[in-house]
Amino acid sequence: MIKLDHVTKVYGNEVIALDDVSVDIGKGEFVFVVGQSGSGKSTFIRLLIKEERPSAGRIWVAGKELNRLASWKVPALRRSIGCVFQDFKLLSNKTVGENVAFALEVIGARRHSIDRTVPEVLKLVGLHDKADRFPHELSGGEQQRVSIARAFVNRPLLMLCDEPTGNLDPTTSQDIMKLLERINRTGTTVVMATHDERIVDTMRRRVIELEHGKVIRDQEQGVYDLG
Amino acid sequence: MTRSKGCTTLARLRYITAEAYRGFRRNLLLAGSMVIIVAISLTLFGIALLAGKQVNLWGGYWSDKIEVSVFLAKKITPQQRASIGNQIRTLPVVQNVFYESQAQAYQRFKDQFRDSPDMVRNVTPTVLPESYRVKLRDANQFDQVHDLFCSGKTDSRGKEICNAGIDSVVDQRKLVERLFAILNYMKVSFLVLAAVLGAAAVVLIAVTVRVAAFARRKETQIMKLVGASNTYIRLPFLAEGVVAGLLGTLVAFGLLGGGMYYLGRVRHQVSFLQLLPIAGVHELYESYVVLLFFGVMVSALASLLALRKYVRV
Repeated sequence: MIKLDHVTKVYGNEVIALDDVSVDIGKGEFVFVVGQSGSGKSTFIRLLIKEERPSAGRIWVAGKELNRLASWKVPALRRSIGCVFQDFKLLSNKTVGENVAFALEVIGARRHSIDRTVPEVLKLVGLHDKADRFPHELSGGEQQRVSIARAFVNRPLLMLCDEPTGNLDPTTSQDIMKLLERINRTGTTVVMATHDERIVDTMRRRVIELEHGKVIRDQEQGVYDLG
Repeated sequence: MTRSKGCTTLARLRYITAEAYRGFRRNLLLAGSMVIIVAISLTLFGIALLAGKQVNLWGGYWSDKIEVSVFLAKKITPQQRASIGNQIRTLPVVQNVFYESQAQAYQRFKDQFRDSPDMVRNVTPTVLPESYRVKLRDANQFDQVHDLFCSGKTDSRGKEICNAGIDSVVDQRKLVERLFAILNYMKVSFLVLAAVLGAAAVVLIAVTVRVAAFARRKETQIMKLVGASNTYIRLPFLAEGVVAGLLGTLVAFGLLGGGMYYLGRVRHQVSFLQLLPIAGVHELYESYVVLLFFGVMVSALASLLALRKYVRV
């Protein structure tokens, strides 16, 4: 699903965000990318949706080599990837239902299929009774569910989550993780950047640890910290 | 399949117009200035175009016509008429001469003004002077013809004193050249002004579109993340710029059309203009096409320019 081959990313001329990273992530895997702030987690995610280009090395996502992907094909790539962020990125002037529908509207989905799909996915994240609420009327956990619903509404092959629990309390975080686990069980590959030790230790999934842009650990059923 | 495809296209169109309208509402002041500056620059451009057309029109009218007119007086004897004709013909500088009677002058007048029947109705053959129309070997030798018949002195009413049977000797070329100079000057200066204001319009449109894009950066960011195409993201902003350009163009149409209409009315009161062909509705419509093209193209390019730097994948 994802393959990085000796990828280096340098910002400007001196800030090395990723340093010779090679990683292989299979279809249907659930992977944590851990490390301190500035270790390169977010760059890792941004490279996968071609928001950034690597300074060196090659990247494959869903069978496509990103360096060779024409820029007009980037939207198609992003349609097969769902993104979830720490700050939810919801539109405050749209209701929950409209926020999720927005993701379908802007890729030109038909009205009747939108009307069918949105309630389904809201039900999946447990918010089917809040479709007409506005984001500011919801708790942080609920808002993150909306953003997961929006990311998943296209049935993407891959979910990229950049610190999805960063703004949430532990209990709420557990709920979000359960949701992501359910999504993973449908066959969707999930890559989650986090520095939430508790979550990583409970889930016992594959852990890739970054430090100063280098992979210092890649472990099946890992925990956050070996030390 | 085709029907539902049509539906999405319609939905998109509605989305784009709604978004462009929202953009306008959000920033009426900027939108208004865009329209005004486009209107002014295009009006100036239109004036330059029409002045250019006028030069061509008159240039064509005169290019191979007479260079000197010897207008004959109302009270003239046949002997005088014949002797004046002979005098002109014997001048070495004269290439050819023809006599135009009042009836012929009237015929030419009718041809020239077939588009304004009102004017033709008000003119009778007796009003128009008969004349000798002279083409010179060297157009600069006008004085030779002039000095033969006229003294260069003026009488108490300011009219030049000429030989018996002569009303006046006119160098058409000089008259036209002065007009051409004025028109050309007008054309160039209006073109320069139009270009300067046009550049300002481009900057203003680009800035406005950029402001709109900035105001909605969160939406566009989400659109990009969920895989909306570049076109889909950019079209509403593009539409905003182009609609402003289009509105400005329409205002310019109105100003130019109104101006031409007013000029058309004034022309009837200025005697010498009545004898000349003037750019009319046909030329105006030709200019409209050019202005529309520029109005839309320039605003579209300005918007795209702004979006290239701002709304990028």
